[in-house]
Amino acid sequence: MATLVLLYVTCALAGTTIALLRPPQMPRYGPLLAIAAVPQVGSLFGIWIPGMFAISVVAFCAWCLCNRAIPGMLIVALGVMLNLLVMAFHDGAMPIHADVLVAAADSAPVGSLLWGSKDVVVHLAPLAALSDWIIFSSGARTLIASPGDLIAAAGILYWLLFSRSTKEGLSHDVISRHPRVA
Amino acid sequence: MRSRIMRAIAAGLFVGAMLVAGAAPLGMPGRNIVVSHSAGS
Repeated sequence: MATLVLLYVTCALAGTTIALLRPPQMPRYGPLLAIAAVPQVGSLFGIWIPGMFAISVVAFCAWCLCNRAIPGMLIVALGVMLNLLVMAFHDGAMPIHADVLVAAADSAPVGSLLWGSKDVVVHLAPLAALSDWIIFSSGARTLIASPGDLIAAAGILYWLLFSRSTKEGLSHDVISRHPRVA
Repeated sequence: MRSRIMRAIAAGLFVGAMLVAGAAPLGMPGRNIVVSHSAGS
Protein backbone atom coordinates (compact mmCIF):
# COMPACT_ATOMS: atom_id res chain seq x y z
CA MET A 1 0.00 0.00 0.00
CA ALA A 2 2.71 2.47 1.04
CA THR A 3 4.63 1.99 -2.19
CA LEU A 4 1.56 2.54 -4.34
CA VAL A 5 0.41 5.63 -2.40
CA LEU A 6 3.98 6.97 -2.59
CA LEU A 7 3.93 6.41 -6.35
CA TYR A 8 0.58 8.17 -6.80
CA VAL A 9 1.61 11.12 -4.62
CA THR A 10 5.00 11.42 -6.36
CA CYS A 11 3.36 11.42 -9.78
CA ALA A 12 0.76 13.98 -8.65
CA LEU A 13 3.51 16.26 -7.28
CA ALA A 14 5.54 15.85 -10.47
CA GLY A 15 2.40 16.71 -12.45
CA THR A 16 1.84 19.82 -10.30
CA THR A 17 5.43 20.92 -10.86
CA ILE A 18 5.28 20.44 -14.64
CA ALA A 19 1.88 22.18 -14.77
CA LEU A 20 3.31 25.11 -12.80
CA LEU A 21 6.08 25.55 -15.36
CA ARG A 22 3.92 24.85 -18.38
CA PRO A 23 0.15 25.10 -17.75
CA PRO A 24 -1.61 22.26 -19.59
CA GLN A 25 -5.10 22.32 -21.06
CA MET A 26 -7.30 21.28 -18.14
CA PRO A 27 -9.69 18.35 -18.60
CA ARG A 28 -13.35 18.96 -17.84
CA TYR A 29 -15.94 16.93 -15.95
CA GLY A 30 -13.69 16.14 -12.96
CA PRO A 31 -16.57 14.58 -10.99
CA LEU A 32 -16.79 11.80 -13.61
CA LEU A 33 -13.14 10.97 -12.97
CA ALA A 34 -13.78 11.05 -9.22
CA ILE A 35 -16.69 8.63 -9.66
CA ALA A 36 -14.36 6.34 -11.64
CA ALA A 37 -11.63 6.57 -8.99
CA VAL A 38 -13.71 5.93 -5.85
CA PRO A 39 -14.41 2.21 -6.53
CA GLN A 40 -10.73 1.74 -7.36
CA VAL A 41 -9.75 3.26 -4.01
CA GLY A 42 -12.14 0.76 -2.41
CA SER A 43 -10.40 -2.12 -4.15
CA LEU A 44 -7.04 -0.91 -2.80
CA PHE A 45 -8.49 -1.40 0.68
CA GLY A 46 -9.88 -4.82 -0.17
CA ILE A 47 -13.47 -3.58 -0.56
CA TRP A 48 -15.17 -5.37 -3.45
CA ILE A 49 -18.78 -4.45 -4.12
CA PRO A 50 -20.59 -6.03 -7.09
CA GLY A 51 -21.02 -3.52 -9.88
CA MET A 52 -18.39 -1.06 -8.69
CA PHE A 53 -16.02 -2.09 -11.45
CA ALA A 54 -18.73 -1.40 -14.04
CA ILE A 55 -19.26 2.07 -12.50
CA SER A 56 -15.53 2.75 -12.87
CA VAL A 57 -15.48 1.64 -16.50
CA VAL A 58 -18.58 3.62 -17.50
CA ALA A 59 -17.48 6.79 -15.66
CA PHE A 60 -13.95 6.62 -17.07
CA CYS A 61 -15.20 6.00 -20.64
CA ALA A 62 -17.57 8.97 -20.34
CA TRP A 63 -14.79 11.18 -18.93
CA CYS A 64 -12.42 10.23 -21.76
CA LEU A 65 -15.13 10.84 -24.33
CA CYS A 66 -15.78 14.31 -22.92
CA ASN A 67 -12.06 15.16 -23.00
CA ARG A 68 -11.04 13.40 -26.21
CA ALA A 69 -9.97 16.67 -27.84
CA ILE A 70 -7.23 17.27 -25.25
CA PRO A 71 -3.80 16.06 -26.44
CA GLY A 72 -2.70 12.92 -24.62
CA MET A 73 -6.15 11.97 -23.33
CA LEU A 74 -6.69 9.32 -25.99
CA ILE A 75 -3.33 7.76 -25.06
CA VAL A 76 -4.38 7.75 -21.39
CA ALA A 77 -7.72 6.24 -22.41
CA LEU A 78 -5.99 3.50 -24.42
CA GLY A 79 -3.73 2.56 -21.49
CA VAL A 80 -6.52 2.58 -18.94
CA MET A 81 -8.89 0.66 -21.21
CA LEU A 82 -6.23 -2.04 -21.71
CA ASN A 83 -6.00 -2.34 -17.92
CA LEU A 84 -9.76 -2.36 -17.46
CA LEU A 85 -10.17 -4.91 -20.25
CA VAL A 86 -7.92 -7.47 -18.60
CA MET A 87 -9.38 -6.63 -15.17
CA ALA A 88 -12.88 -7.32 -16.52
CA PHE A 89 -11.89 -11.00 -16.89
CA HIS A 90 -11.02 -11.18 -13.17
CA ASP A 91 -13.99 -9.53 -11.45
CA GLY A 92 -12.31 -6.13 -11.54
CA ALA A 93 -8.91 -7.25 -10.21
CA MET A 94 -5.65 -6.96 -12.14
CA PRO A 95 -4.18 -10.42 -12.69
CA ILE A 96 -0.57 -11.09 -11.81
CA HIS A 97 1.00 -14.42 -12.64
CA ALA A 98 2.35 -16.34 -9.65
CA ASP A 99 5.68 -16.74 -11.46
CA VAL A 100 5.98 -12.95 -11.84
CA LEU A 101 5.62 -12.59 -8.07
CA VAL A 102 8.32 -15.21 -7.58
CA ALA A 103 10.56 -13.35 -10.03
CA ALA A 104 10.02 -10.24 -7.88
CA ALA A 105 11.13 -12.20 -4.81
CA ASP A 106 7.62 -12.60 -3.39
CA SER A 107 4.90 -15.20 -3.38
CA ALA A 108 1.21 -15.64 -2.64
CA PRO A 109 -1.27 -18.45 -3.26
CA VAL A 110 -3.07 -18.49 -6.59
CA GLY A 111 -6.48 -16.83 -6.33
CA SER A 112 -5.52 -14.46 -3.52
CA LEU A 113 -6.13 -10.74 -3.56
CA LEU A 114 -3.16 -8.67 -2.47
CA TRP A 115 -3.62 -5.95 0.14
CA GLY A 116 -2.99 -2.40 -1.01
CA SER A 117 -3.20 -3.23 -4.68
CA LYS A 118 -5.76 -4.16 -7.30
CA ASP A 119 -4.01 -7.45 -7.99
CA VAL A 120 -5.15 -11.03 -7.84
CA VAL A 121 -2.64 -13.86 -8.18
CA VAL A 122 -3.41 -16.17 -11.08
CA HIS A 123 -1.92 -19.22 -12.71
CA LEU A 124 -3.38 -18.64 -16.16
CA ALA A 125 -4.88 -15.39 -17.41
CA PRO A 126 -6.72 -14.48 -20.58
CA LEU A 127 -4.87 -11.55 -22.18
CA ALA A 128 -1.86 -12.34 -19.98
CA ALA A 129 0.28 -9.88 -21.95
CA LEU A 130 -1.88 -7.05 -20.56
CA SER A 131 -1.51 -8.12 -16.92
CA ASP A 132 1.10 -6.90 -14.44
CA TRP A 133 4.43 -8.41 -15.50
CA ILE A 134 6.90 -5.57 -16.08
CA ILE A 135 9.14 -5.47 -13.01
CA PHE A 136 10.89 -2.29 -11.87
CA SER A 137 13.17 -2.67 -8.90
CA SER A 138 14.80 0.14 -6.98
CA GLY A 139 16.48 -0.75 -3.71
CA ALA A 140 13.98 -2.21 -1.27
CA ARG A 141 10.98 -1.21 -3.38
CA THR A 142 9.67 -3.16 -6.32
CA LEU A 143 6.98 -2.09 -8.72
CA ILE A 144 5.24 -4.43 -11.14
CA ALA A 145 3.34 -2.65 -13.90
CA SER A 146 1.26 -3.62 -16.90
CA PRO A 147 1.67 -2.34 -20.47
CA GLY A 148 -1.54 -0.35 -19.89
CA ASP A 149 0.07 1.40 -16.90
CA LEU A 150 3.02 2.48 -19.03
CA ILE A 151 0.80 3.68 -21.88
CA ALA A 152 -1.40 5.64 -19.45
CA ALA A 153 1.71 7.18 -17.85
CA ALA A 154 3.01 8.13 -21.30
CA GLY A 155 -0.36 9.73 -22.09
CA ILE A 156 -0.33 11.73 -18.86
CA LEU A 157 3.21 12.93 -19.63
CA TYR A 158 2.17 13.83 -23.19
CA TRP A 159 -0.82 15.79 -21.82
CA LEU A 160 1.37 17.70 -19.36
CA LEU A 161 4.09 18.49 -21.88
CA PHE A 162 2.25 19.00 -25.14
CA SER A 163 -1.17 20.44 -24.33
CA ARG A 164 -1.34 24.14 -23.65
CA SER A 165 -3.70 26.00 -21.40
CA THR A 166 -6.54 27.48 -23.50
CA LYS A 167 -6.18 30.74 -21.57
CA GLU A 168 -2.51 31.08 -22.50
CA GLY A 169 -3.09 29.94 -26.06
CA LEU A 170 -5.85 32.53 -26.55
CA SER A 171 -3.85 35.40 -25.09
CA HIS A 172 -0.87 34.42 -27.25
CA ASP A 173 -3.11 34.28 -30.29
CA VAL A 174 -4.65 37.68 -29.54
CA ILE A 175 -1.24 39.29 -29.06
CA SER A 176 0.18 37.86 -32.27
CA ARG A 177 -2.84 39.06 -34.27
CA HIS A 178 -2.67 42.56 -32.87
CA PRO A 179 -2.01 44.93 -35.79
CA ARG A 180 0.80 46.75 -33.94
CA VAL A 181 2.66 43.53 -33.26
CA ALA A 182 4.71 42.30 -36.15
CA MET B 1 0.10 33.84 -10.49
CA ARG B 2 -2.41 32.59 -7.93
CA SER B 3 -4.59 31.23 -10.72
CA ARG B 4 -1.57 29.48 -12.20
CA ILE B 5 -0.81 27.80 -8.87
CA MET B 6 -4.43 26.71 -8.52
CA ARG B 7 -4.38 25.24 -12.02
CA ALA B 8 -1.11 23.44 -11.28
CA ILE B 9 -2.63 21.93 -8.12
CA ALA B 10 -5.71 20.92 -10.12
CA ALA B 11 -3.45 19.32 -12.75
CA GLY B 12 -1.69 17.35 -10.00
CA LEU B 13 -5.04 16.19 -8.66
CA PHE B 14 -6.06 15.12 -12.15
CA VAL B 15 -2.82 13.14 -12.51
CA GLY B 16 -3.46 11.39 -9.19
CA ALA B 17 -7.10 10.68 -10.02
CA MET B 18 -6.23 9.31 -13.45
CA LEU B 19 -3.67 6.95 -11.92
CA VAL B 20 -6.03 5.81 -9.16
CA ALA B 21 -8.89 5.30 -11.62
CA GLY B 22 -7.00 3.46 -14.30
CA ALA B 23 -3.52 2.37 -13.40
CA ALA B 24 -3.05 -0.92 -11.61
CA PRO B 25 0.59 -1.42 -10.71
CA LEU B 26 1.66 -3.59 -7.80
CA GLY B 27 3.97 -1.86 -5.34
CA MET B 28 5.91 -4.12 -3.05
CA PRO B 29 7.83 -2.69 -0.10
CA GLY B 30 8.19 -6.17 1.33
CA ARG B 31 6.08 -9.27 1.38
CA ASN B 32 2.51 -8.96 0.18
CA ILE B 33 -0.38 -9.46 2.53
CA VAL B 34 -3.13 -11.63 1.19
CA VAL B 35 -6.61 -10.21 1.62
CA SER B 36 -8.68 -13.20 0.52
CA HIS B 37 -8.89 -16.07 -1.87
CA SER B 38 -12.28 -15.15 -3.20
CA ALA B 39 -11.38 -13.50 -6.50
CA GLY B 40 -11.33 -15.43 -9.73
CA SER B 41 -8.14 -17.20 -10.65
